[in-house]
Amino acid sequence: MLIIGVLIALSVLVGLLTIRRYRAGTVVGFLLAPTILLLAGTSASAAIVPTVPLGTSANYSVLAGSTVTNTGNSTLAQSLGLWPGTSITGFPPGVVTPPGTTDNNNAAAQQAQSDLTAAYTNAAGRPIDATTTADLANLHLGAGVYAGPSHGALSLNGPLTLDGAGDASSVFIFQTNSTLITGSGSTVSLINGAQECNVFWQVGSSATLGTGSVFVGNILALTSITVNTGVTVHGRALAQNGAVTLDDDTFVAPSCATTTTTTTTTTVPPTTTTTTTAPGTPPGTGTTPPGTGTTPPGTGTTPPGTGTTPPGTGTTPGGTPIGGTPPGGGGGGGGSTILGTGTTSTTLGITTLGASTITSTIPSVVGTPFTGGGPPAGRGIPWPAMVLAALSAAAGVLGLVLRRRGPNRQSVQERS
Amino acid sequence: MTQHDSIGRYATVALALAAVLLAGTAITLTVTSSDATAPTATAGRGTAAAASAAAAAPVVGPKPTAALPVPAALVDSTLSLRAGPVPVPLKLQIPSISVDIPVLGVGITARNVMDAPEGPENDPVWQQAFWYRGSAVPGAASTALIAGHVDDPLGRPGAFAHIDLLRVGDLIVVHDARTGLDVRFSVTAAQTYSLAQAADPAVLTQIYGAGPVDGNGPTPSADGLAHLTLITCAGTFVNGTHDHRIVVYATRIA
Repeated sequence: MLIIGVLIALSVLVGLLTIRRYRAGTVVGFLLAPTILLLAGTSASAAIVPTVPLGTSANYSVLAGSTVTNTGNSTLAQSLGLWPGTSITGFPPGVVTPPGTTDNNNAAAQQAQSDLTAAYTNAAGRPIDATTTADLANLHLGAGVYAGPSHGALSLNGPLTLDGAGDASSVFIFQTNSTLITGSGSTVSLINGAQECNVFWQVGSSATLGTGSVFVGNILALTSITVNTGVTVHGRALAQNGAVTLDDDTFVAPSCATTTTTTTTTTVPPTTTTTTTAPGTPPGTGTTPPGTGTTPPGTGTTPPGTGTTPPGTGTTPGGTPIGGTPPGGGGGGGGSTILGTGTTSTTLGITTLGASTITSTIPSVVGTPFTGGGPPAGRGIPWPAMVLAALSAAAGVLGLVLRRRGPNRQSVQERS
Repeated sequence: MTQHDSIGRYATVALALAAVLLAGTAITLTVTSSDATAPTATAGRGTAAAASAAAAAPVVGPKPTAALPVPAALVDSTLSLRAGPVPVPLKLQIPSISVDIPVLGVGITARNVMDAPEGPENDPVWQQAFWYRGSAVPGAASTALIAGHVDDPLGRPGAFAHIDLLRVGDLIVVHDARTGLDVRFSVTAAQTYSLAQAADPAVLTQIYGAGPVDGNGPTPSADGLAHLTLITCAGTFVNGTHDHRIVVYATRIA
């Protein structure tokens, strides 16, 4: 944007040189107009963070665009929707808890997708209050709009604390133009009145929730959402264009209580052992033998709410990181005592052939990956230069016209 | 100098500037096009490399993998191959082409091909490597497959833009960030395949190893050695994808 502004300013200068002695008023306007536009474009900082209105998409635990695939006994507290796709598989054994409904390619799902598009656009359009690290682990954030460096991929490989500062309408929006990937050892903690229904994750591509994790908030993904095995989601998985994939997951309607509560979410894969590891230990390096997990999954203490998002009336002061601590190297988040749960380390052990321990059915590959970014030509057209060229040409033509009119003007001046 | 002469001079300057900008734009587009068609040349070089590889023996002889340490498993064993990409604690280092990049563990797409994540033009995925979670851990006595993008949506070089320059004997290192272990491979061959060729089960088996093609996990290699395959796009962009793939084969040496 800055480059475009500079180029437009150059065009203005050319125009000024051409016509400055004839159209002083026009020149002033010519200079002021883009200046005002540029200033307007840079002054859009927001100190208030209203909630993101979900419309009818708030009625859904899961909403997808292409397919919904479930494995195992997933449970949805709210409705299941799909539009424009038609393939919902795995329900049953998956369960949609009444009064939730399964809306497969019907008008309700279509309307929900329309509302989701509006909500996504709303969330994506919010100016950020602060830039976070790409890994949100060990951050303690107040209400606000956040994005990682360059709006790049976000990950969560440790504890994240969202602090409502006593305001139940505090809104937390996380933006990424890329992926959101949470690790199996991640935790999200809401304190001081922060509420599950007011946490939004705007994901520009796809989201993946780590095995056994407990996640909080509304995922608004442009493409797909994969919820790995045994995840508890206090919120919604809403995918616009792609698939939602579930595997023995539990969706709880996000709470919207009016009282100040503290909700602690923990991450305990059922087949792993909870241990406390040294800070900075990379995830997945535990050496504890498998099999004796003592903490059951899904221990969130907040009861399911009504599943309806309140109208967009939240007025929360702009967010500022509250004493955020940079994540340690390796992102293991180990040793954190904020949640009192330590770190979950997945037992991996030594294996000879790596993925040979995968127990689920493995599809046969039938082709090679697509590893090109796009067509070789036709992209990257330098539009700013094109615009500048057009403006310069216009200024030149205008100058020539004025030149032709010059003698008449001069004669008028001479006559006067 | 009269006033209208001055105007005329400025007008001429403005028009000249416009002409220069338009010419610059044309040159830029031409250069962009040239850069983006590089994969075609890549394919040619890859084929040549393959031919030379067939005639040349590896510079450094491979060692039995059983005598070498193997990185621990890289992902949760319960993670589905249908799940999205996950970070793995590896770095891929290829000194001869100045590659030193992080690695994502990727699964399989709905079309049953290895995933290669994409994103906006400045997304880090264009400069990352993708280890196929259905293949072996690099260094194990089987076949590990790592892919990378040849370019990004703007045609700029991707992580694997220059693997066509690899020659037999070039070093490839897979670094385990957890332990500091460097698993070292030596390039043994390179080959460019058309999409049709690459869909052939025999070729797929060479690329992925036998297990993934048969619907199994990685299986022990017949020669007892640890193999690494690098793959990226090449050729011409046709019907939404490049029409060739360049594949570099390597064997563990240390």
